[in-house]
Amino acid sequence: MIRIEALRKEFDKGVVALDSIDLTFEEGSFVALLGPSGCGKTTTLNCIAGLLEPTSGSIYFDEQEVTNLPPKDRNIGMVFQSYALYPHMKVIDNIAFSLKQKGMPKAERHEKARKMAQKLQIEHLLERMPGELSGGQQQRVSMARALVKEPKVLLLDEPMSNLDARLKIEIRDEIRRIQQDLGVTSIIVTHDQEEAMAMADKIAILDNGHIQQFDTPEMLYHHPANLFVAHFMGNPPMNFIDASVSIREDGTWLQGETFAVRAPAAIAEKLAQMDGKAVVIGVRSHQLDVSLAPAPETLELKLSIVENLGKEVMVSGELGESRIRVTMPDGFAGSYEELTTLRRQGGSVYLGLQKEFNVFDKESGVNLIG
Amino acid sequence: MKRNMRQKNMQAYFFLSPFLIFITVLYILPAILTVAMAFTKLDSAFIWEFNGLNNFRKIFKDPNTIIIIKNTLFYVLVTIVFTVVLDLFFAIMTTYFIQDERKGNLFKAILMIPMITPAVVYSVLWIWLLEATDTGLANQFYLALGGTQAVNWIAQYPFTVVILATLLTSIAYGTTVFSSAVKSIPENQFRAARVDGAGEWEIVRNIILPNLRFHITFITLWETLGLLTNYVTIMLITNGGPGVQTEVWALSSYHKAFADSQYGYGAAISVLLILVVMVLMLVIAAVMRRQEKSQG
Ligand SMILES: Nc1ncnc2c1ncn2[C@@H]1O[C@H](COP(=O)(O)OP(=O)(O)OP(=O)(O)O)[C@@H](O)[C@H]1O
Ligand SMILES: [Mg+2]
Repeated sequence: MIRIEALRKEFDKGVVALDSIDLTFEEGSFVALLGPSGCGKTTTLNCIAGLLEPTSGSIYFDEQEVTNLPPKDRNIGMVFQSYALYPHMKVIDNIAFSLKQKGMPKAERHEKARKMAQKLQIEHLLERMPGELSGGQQQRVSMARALVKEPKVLLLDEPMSNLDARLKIEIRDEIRRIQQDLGVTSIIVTHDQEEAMAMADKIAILDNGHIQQFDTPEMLYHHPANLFVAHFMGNPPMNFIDASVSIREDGTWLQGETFAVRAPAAIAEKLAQMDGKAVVIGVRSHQLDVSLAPAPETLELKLSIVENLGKEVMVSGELGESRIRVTMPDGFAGSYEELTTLRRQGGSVYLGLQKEFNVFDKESGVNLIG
Repeated sequence: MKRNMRQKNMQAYFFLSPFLIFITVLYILPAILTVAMAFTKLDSAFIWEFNGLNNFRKIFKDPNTIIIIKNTLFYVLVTIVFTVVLDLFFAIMTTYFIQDERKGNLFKAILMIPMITPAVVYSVLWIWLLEATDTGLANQFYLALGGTQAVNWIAQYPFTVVILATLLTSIAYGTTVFSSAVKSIPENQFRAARVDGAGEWEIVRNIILPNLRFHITFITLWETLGLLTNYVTIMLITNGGPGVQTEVWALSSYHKAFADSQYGYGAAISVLLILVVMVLMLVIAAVMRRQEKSQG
């Protein structure tokens, strides 16, 4: 288990890279640190590794405080973005380097390196130099090097950013498999949300040195804590529609410029005290009903693009200020041809909100439902 | 496409040709003349008279030759070892351990001063510093620290003085080369090593030095070349003396040719040096080719 408490990191000239970071990683879990460039992912990782000294706050591995321990006393394995293999050592010596530092005799450490190489299917590369390997092979070597010391924690800093798309998926599965085999607590840094969703048990979303949300991929996807997370997670991105809350005798309404819809009971309950509040409705592209004819409590979407994605049809258009993408639901009455004709004629479809959607405070960005 | 390339090549040759001509006239012709001269009896009478291998025979018969060879080897070896070790020390200190780049660079700029000081000024400075009388700066220190009598430093420790003086002028270059090599090692390699349990000394030994191995070879050869051919510092400080105690090969060629006016004999001595230098240069070229290959 890793526990981070009130971590803060300030660089020279007052650059605050991290502030009040609180995180707890369960034993054996796989966690992703996700966020845009410069948000502090690498800094967090380096603090956990002991490569950077935090300005304040503490880090615990189990019950032991490691905040001021040097990296070598933390028993961590680390995979770096550009692999950082030692260019003048053979692959086998690269893998065995940490064991050599512990003073393990040559035969024994080579034996261990060989075993780890077997696990990663790079046994045939052991006698080569790093310069003679492909990117994917170097990746595996750096994994083997990180894991051979049987670390308590495995840290991965954008381990796949130098690989092509197909290899990425292959290595991604490989890392996940080995992580589960060994049961080592792992933290991966990435700015690729799909990668994070596919690999991690839990994801911490960072922005500007602050944790925005720390949750399972599912929760992040369906119940983003705020507008930042909602914008960041999911492909296609969530749709956002401006509205205001209006509480009347016949229920709680979400009132937009061109529409008014009644909020479902569960949502209405959360909005009970918020009459008149400016909000943003957040709804995923597949969480909308679509009909071709106008109906009460629907939102008119003027079609601008109709796409056939093979497994589904997606339309997009303008609704007031915002651009909305909608995936046609399974039971949709019209066809792709109908929709393209409709688009050419400058027509609209009518969207109905389902039971589940999110409502954010427009001012603070906080999710009022979640 | 091909023709274009050739035209581009032609242009390059065209622009380079003035330099090629210059170098031919100013360096290669004298070199050929020197080689020719080595087989003549040319002296102050200036008669070009061919005398076969006599000059070379004379070199091997001269009892001083063996002393001069010993001096040269001693001078080059000791200076090289100290130069490379100090270069590495300063480079690693100023680029790896001192993270503040401004301080590191200031230090390197200070190291550069002896190198950019004109040799004459620099040597006079040493002579003045080590003056044999009570007024010499070194002697003042020595007396203040309890010495009983002024020492003639240069006469007493000629090689130490010469090597020290040469050393100070030669560390700047290697330090600069090694520094930029240290700087070009990706930071993540150090991080990886730290995570793998290496301490600072182990990082120096296992990461920095192996990364610098070609640079070390190159600087060693390059400085050897310089030490073999450049005799100005020695000439100005001890002029080979006392006696032949600090006479080295290149300086002896100069002495024979210009002090004793035995031009032919002096030329023969430098021809032997040129042969050694050429072999060294071939080795340097080979090292650089291998480096390119291993990095490409
Ligand atoms: N050594 C440093 N000195 C000063 N500022 C730094 C230093 N390292 C990082 N920063 C700053 O701290 C912030 C966080 O940097 P960090 O490297 O953690 O970002 P990141 O999330 O890893 O970004 P990326 O996805 O681009 O790698 C940035 O604003 C960065 O400029
Ligand atoms: Mg980073």
